[in-house]
Amino acid sequence: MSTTRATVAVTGLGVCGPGGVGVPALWEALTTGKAHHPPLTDFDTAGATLGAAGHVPGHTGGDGVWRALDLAETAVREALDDVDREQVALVLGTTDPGVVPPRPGHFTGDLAGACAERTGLGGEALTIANASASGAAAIAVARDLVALGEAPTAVVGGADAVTDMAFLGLNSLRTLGPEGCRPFSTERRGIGVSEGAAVLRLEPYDEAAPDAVTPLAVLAGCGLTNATGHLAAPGADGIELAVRLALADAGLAPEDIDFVNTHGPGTRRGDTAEIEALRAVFGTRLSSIPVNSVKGVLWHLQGGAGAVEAMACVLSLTHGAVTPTWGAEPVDPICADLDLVLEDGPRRLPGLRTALSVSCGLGGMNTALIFRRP
Amino acid sequence: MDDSVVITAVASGEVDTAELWQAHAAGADGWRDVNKWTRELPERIAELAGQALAGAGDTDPGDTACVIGSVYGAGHVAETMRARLDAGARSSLAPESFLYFNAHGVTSLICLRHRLRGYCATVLGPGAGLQALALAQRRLRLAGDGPVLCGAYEMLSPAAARARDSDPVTGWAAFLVLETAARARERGARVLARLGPVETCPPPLELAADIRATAPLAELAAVLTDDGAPATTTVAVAGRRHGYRCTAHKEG
Repeated sequence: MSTTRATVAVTGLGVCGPGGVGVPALWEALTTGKAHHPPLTDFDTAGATLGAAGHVPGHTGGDGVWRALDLAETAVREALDDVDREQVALVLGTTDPGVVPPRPGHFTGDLAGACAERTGLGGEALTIANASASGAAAIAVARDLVALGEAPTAVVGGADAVTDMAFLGLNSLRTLGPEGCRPFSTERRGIGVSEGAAVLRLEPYDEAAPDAVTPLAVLAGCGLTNATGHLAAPGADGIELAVRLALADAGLAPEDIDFVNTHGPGTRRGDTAEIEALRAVFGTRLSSIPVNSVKGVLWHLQGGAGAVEAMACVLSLTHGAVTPTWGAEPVDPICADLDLVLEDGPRRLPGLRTALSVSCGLGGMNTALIFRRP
Repeated sequence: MDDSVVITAVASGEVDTAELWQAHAAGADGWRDVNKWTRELPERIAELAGQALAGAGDTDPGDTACVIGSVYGAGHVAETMRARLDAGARSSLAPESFLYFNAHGVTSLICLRHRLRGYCATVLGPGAGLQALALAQRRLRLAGDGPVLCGAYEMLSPAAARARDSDPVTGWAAFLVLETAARARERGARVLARLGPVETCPPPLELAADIRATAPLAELAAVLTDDGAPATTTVAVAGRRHGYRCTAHKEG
């Protein structure tokens, strides 16, 4: 196609999750393995596999979808800084269908529109509902908006609260694990869910312009597919395709990737399919690429997961370090040949140039995002 | 290269939700039927998507993207979960229904049934029909090597319709197959219409008569299959923050 596509960079971040409020709190959680997963008291979890969930410490406000809106607002305000809000687009992913039962005057299914109103953003407001990959899919959608010049700035990510419907629905699918997420561990039994919101500020970036402000990272490539053989099971070939599409979009080869942040949910099927996909793309080189999952500490932020994990990649690039996969030990033998990051703190990687983040969602949704240093 | 966007196939039709709402209204006695319709209605939507894809002729599902919009998604799944949890009937939660808790469940089913392996996204909210169309057009501008199945579905529950000051409406689904003009010409596809860009505009002051995300796409589908319809049609919808409009110019 002849269409001109601008390079898109990450110029700001905002987050609140079980690690706390703000980007420094997230990095602290990722590097120390400490996050907030208190027992659930908002609803009865008796008989469920798990009785706790990730909670944003100190963040008070509404519940259900209103809490998701509160959390999104907190993250968006952090990412906005002093940006002129008139033309800023907001693209938010969520898994929550909205206020139930619907009532007049209550928003249903438009988290981005409601959050744009609260934060005074005047640009396009898009709500993306791509299951657990919603936050990552939203980033790909916003990238297109900015790359084509339809929005000078986009704030993008995802947010969700922990509701009894989502929690007990996942329990009915036997997806919850008694210890939360234990990615790649022989002890994994399923996932734990968390509330939270994470957003990135995206803007066009002219690398050739001498006066261009150096951004945090460049969003180099995005790949999205919905490919699986069964709605309730991920497909390795679909994940592989998403990664290959992201590489092609970025104009990179597999050997250009320095680090992989996996979806790494801590389900047997999910972990296995993802590792199979990564082996197919990277071959034997996979054993020399640092690989992690942040779900061992944050658990699964649902609609915010893909966004907070993209943010973890951006932070790894800016810090020149990757963070441990907490809870992974003892490691499943299928991962024995991987360079799974297992240290007790961040691993310094001064030469880190590119990072791949994989996210997946119920129904066979797969996303791959590639970030690189500017 | 002609990179304007054209429509090469359409399909639109009712998704009869009457029995689903009757089952909802029956309370606990209707839960089994609610589960049944929760599984079956997405299949009807996927069937309509298949009609659009078949109408486009020889396209490769491996390259076909899928972008779907909905105002309410399958929000009725959350409604029945809410009712069951409030009744203390947690054991009645149906895991297979939870697959549709998020609006993307229906999109996933469409991809699964038709083996679509391209880009995929689901847009939720009052402007979702034309927001999905805009998203699909962006995809074609950036990576126009495959068609995009762009559609909308709506299963607006009576409560959800009332919350939007609307009378109850039946379910509906509408699909367009979009391609670049160059790609359509290359494979000898019949072009139904050339599509202008989706433009944002101030939202209209009055609520539209049809609040479903399917309305603008169904209107386009109807015009493009009616020989007597005008050569140019503009469809519009009000989102929460903006209005959206798009014009199609019939060909042939």
